[in-house]
Order: sequence, then C-alpha cells, then structure tokens
Amino acid sequence: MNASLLFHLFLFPGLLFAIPASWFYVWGERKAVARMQRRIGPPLLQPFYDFVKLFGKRTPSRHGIEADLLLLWPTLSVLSMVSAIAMLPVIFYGRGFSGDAILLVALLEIPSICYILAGFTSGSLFGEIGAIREALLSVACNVVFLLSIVTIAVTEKTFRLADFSGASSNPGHWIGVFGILLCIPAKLRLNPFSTSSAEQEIYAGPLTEYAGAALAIWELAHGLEWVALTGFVAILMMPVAGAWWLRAILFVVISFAEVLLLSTFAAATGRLTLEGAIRFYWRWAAILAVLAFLAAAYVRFLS
Amino acid sequence: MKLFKRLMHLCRRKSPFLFHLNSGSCNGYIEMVTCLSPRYDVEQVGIRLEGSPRHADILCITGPVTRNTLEAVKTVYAQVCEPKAVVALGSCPCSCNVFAGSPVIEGPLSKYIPVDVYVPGCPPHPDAIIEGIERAAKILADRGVPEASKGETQR
Amino acid sequence: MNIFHLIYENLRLGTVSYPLPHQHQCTSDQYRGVIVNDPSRCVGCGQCAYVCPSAAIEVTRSGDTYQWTYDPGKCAFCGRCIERCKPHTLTMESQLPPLYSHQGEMKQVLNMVRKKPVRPPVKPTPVAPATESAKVAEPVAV
Repeated sequence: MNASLLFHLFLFPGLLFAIPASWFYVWGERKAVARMQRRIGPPLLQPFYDFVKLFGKRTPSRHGIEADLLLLWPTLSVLSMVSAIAMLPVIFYGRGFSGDAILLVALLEIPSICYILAGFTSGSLFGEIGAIREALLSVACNVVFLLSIVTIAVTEKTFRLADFSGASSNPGHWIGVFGILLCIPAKLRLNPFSTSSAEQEIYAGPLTEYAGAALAIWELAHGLEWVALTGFVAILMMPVAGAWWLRAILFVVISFAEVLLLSTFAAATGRLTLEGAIRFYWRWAAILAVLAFLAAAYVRFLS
Repeated sequence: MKLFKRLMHLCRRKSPFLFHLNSGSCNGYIEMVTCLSPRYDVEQVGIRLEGSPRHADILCITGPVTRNTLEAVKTVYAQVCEPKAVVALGSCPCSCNVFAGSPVIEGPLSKYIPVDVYVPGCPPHPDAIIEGIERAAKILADRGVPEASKGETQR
Repeated sequence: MNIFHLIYENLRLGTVSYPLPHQHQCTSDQYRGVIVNDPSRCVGCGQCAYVCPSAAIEVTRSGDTYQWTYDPGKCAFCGRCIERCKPHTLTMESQLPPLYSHQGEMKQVLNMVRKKPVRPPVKPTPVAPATESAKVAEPVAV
C-alpha cells in the first residue's frame, strides 16, 4: 500500500472529501433549483440533517434473506462510488494501469444495477415498475455513455485514465465530454430523465420499501454519484500541468459548475416519459456515432 | 452519548419528512400544496413531501375517515416508521365537521390512531399548517424512539 | 428557449417567499376565525345552534340558566350563526384558529342567567303628544 493510494482513497478525493462534498453538491442542486423557482431553498446543512435523522428511525422487521439483500444494494453502491472517486487522477498522475478507464466505467455502472435489483427484491409493486423503467433507461443511456468513452479512448489512442484526462485539442475528446454530459442526468435521475424514481407518480419507485439506515445509505450513494460523475467530467476538462493545490481547487470548482449547469436543466424541463427518454438517447447515439467516426477519421488521416 | 442524543434531537426537529394521506377529503389539502409553493416555501425549514410512507416522519391526514379508507388509514399508520407524529389537517379529521353522523363516515381520526396536532380550519390557512407541522416535528423529536416495540405490519 | 429567459428573470427578480419563521399572519380583517360570544348581550334564543351545519354550537336551557357551548374543532367557519343572530352578540375573530393537541381542548362553555326584563318603578302616565293642532290651540301670548 503506497502512500498515494491511501491518500486518494481516504483523503482527497476519497472518503474524507467525498462525503462532505456529496452533501454540498446535493445542497447546491436543491438551492439552485429553488432560486430558479423564486423560492429560498434549504439551509446549507440540510442534507446532513436528513442523513443523521434517517439513522434514528426504527426499521420494520423483515425475515430471511430479504433484510440482508435490502442492505446489500446500497452498501455496494457506496463502496463502488468511493472506489470510483478514488480512481480519479486529480493530484497524483503516476498511478493507474493500462485499461483502468474501463474499470472506472464499470464502477460507475454499479449503482444503477443495484437500484434495479433493489426495486426487484423489495417485493413492492411500485419497486418493480421503477426498476423496469430504470433498466430500460440505463440500456439507452449506456449506449451514449460507452460510445463517448470509446471515442475519447480511440482518438487519444489509450485506455489509461491518467493519459486521457486533461484537456486536449483533440475533437474526439470534446465530443466524448459532450456525450458524457448528456448521460449524467439519466444516471443521476434528474429531470428530464427522472422517470424511474418519479416522485409521487409511482410512490417512491424502487426505494419505496426502504426505511431508516438503508435509506440513509442510498441517499449517501446518490450524493457520491454526483461527486463521481461530475468529477469524471472535471478531470477530462482540467489542464494537466499545474501545482497540486491549484488542480484540487480547479477540480472542485469545475464540478460545482457542472452541478449548477445540471440544476438549470433540471429546473427548466419536465419529466419525459420512458419512450421519450429512450428516443432521445438513441437519436443522440446516432448523431454521436457519426461525429465520432468523423473525428476518428480526422485524427487518423491528419496525424 | 449525550452529545449524540442532542444531535439526533436537532436533526429530527430540522428535517421532518411528510406523507400526505387523503381519507375522503374534498381536496382541502390544496392549502398544504401552497405551503410547498414559492410564496411559503417550507423547504426552508427542511420539510419535504415524500412519496412513500416508509420514508416519512409526519403523517398528514385530511378528510373524515370514510368507510372505504379506514383500512388504508390503519395500514399506512403502521407503515410509517418510529418516531412518528400525526397531524390532522383541517376540521374534517378533527371532528368530521359537517359530515358527523353520516352512515359512511367512520368518525373522527382520534378514534383509530393517536393524533398529535389538530389544525382546525376549512381549509386551514397555510400559516396554520406550517405551524402545525413544526409543532409535530418538535413533538416527535422530544418523543424519540419509544422503548416498547409495537408489532409493525410488513408492507 | 423561453424557459431559460424565465429562469434568468427569476434569478434577477429574487425570491418571493416569506422567510420562515415569520411572525405576522397573513390575514385581513375580514378573515373568518373563531366565533366569540358576548355574554352580556346573548339572550339564549338558540338560533345559532339551529342553523349551524356541523353542530359546533349547542344551547341548552334549564330553568333560569342556559349554557352556550362552542367547539372550534367542529366549526366550519361558514358564518351562518352570525348572520342569524338577532341581538348581534356573535362575532368572528379575524385571526387563525389556534392549534390544539387533545380532542375537545378548545371547547368554550358559557353559562348565562336569563336576563329578567327591567320594569320601571311606577306606572308611567301617558304624555300628551306634542302635535301641530295642539300648538295652534294654545292662546298666543301677548
């Protein structure tokens, strides 16, 4: 265990940074949406109060393996998100192995799978409906997501995260960043792609049967998803050179700017139906495929 | 340990999650929805309307309890996790108002579940609703989790 | 693109929310609040109890005393009792009805004694009406 791994896993951008950052980003989104609707919005510590309060609830008794399974899914989401955040090369560049971008993408996918499984194993009808919607939406959204990653990797000619992070003048790089930004609202279940966790429409979707500590861990997983996804796009946009503290500050600033951008789109749009959302993503998959092909041809023939 | 208890008391008071149950009302809870609108904006004090009774702390019930909704009221009350509080919004759950004595009305809410705050009004004013919910949040923070565990129904 | 213009305007104009907790209550003086009875003017006719649609007011008489009970928990704040009250003793507060925690906590009970009509001490003599013909009949003083 070298010191840089421990630093990344536990300090920055690991646990000690990620958990308060998740509360800060969730607060930022709620406050921004409130201000755009001429409301005041929650106080700064509101996500922290919600988190602590949920631990104090008594959960209903469940029998058999259901209790363990219900706690397993949010725990897996939190662990995979912390690992994904720890893999982001913000300060130290020398680490990583060839192909670790694929590992990062797989880790970013796990919370969505756990959400679907939580809906199916919770035994409630609304959970099943929400899980079906999330499954269909994630199939459509992952086409665009993986296409963007592959575009970046092919035009930079590497699958190593440390090598393709950092802003470059490559057109394929920026097409990929745009594609990833398109997918983030679906992964975070924001408007207009909030159909799988539609509040009030299907009660609470897959999380209907969750209560107390398990729900608190789900909320934490959701906050960490914000940090991981916005952080991933931030390291793709940051310059490579620079002092370590400057890069850390820039990482947080760019991530929060993305939070504000996504909140603006969330406040401006309504919820799309499942068919509308899938159609949106397949249309953009076609457009991005053509653009990626052109970018790859440009890089191949002009370099 | 005492510090943790004080922290939990503060957090329970500062983030009450609501679940609204309509037991046969005339949609008098429309004034509750104005509390979420920009004019009153109860999100300032942390109040959030939740989709599932299992996520909520405070159960807001409107409407006189009709015969069709009696089982639903009892089931949903059992589904809300401890510590919980019940707010009777409007004068219908307080006392059945003009429907008292009707053969399909099963009576005021307090006959079936323990009610913590009654908010009279037909419909109640949003200020009264907000004050009622804040009072209920304080009551449930003081109550904590009761020691004797009642048998709670699954689903 | 209209929505983004709308969002920009919202951010520029600021919030419209009342900052909670706010002390003033947003009621006008025509707000329908809790009924107030003036015991010195109430005559116990029971008309308010007769027209009340939710039986929030009850008037019971026994001998010389009568009892007026009112439960704000049952009141629909419709105002029929005030329209019907002949001695105009019932009025409505123009502020929010108070919250309570126990059933029947806010019930008001007023016990009043039947007011005896006031009789004068002696039988009054009829006074001649001062009419025009009476004035003309009087001799004009020189």
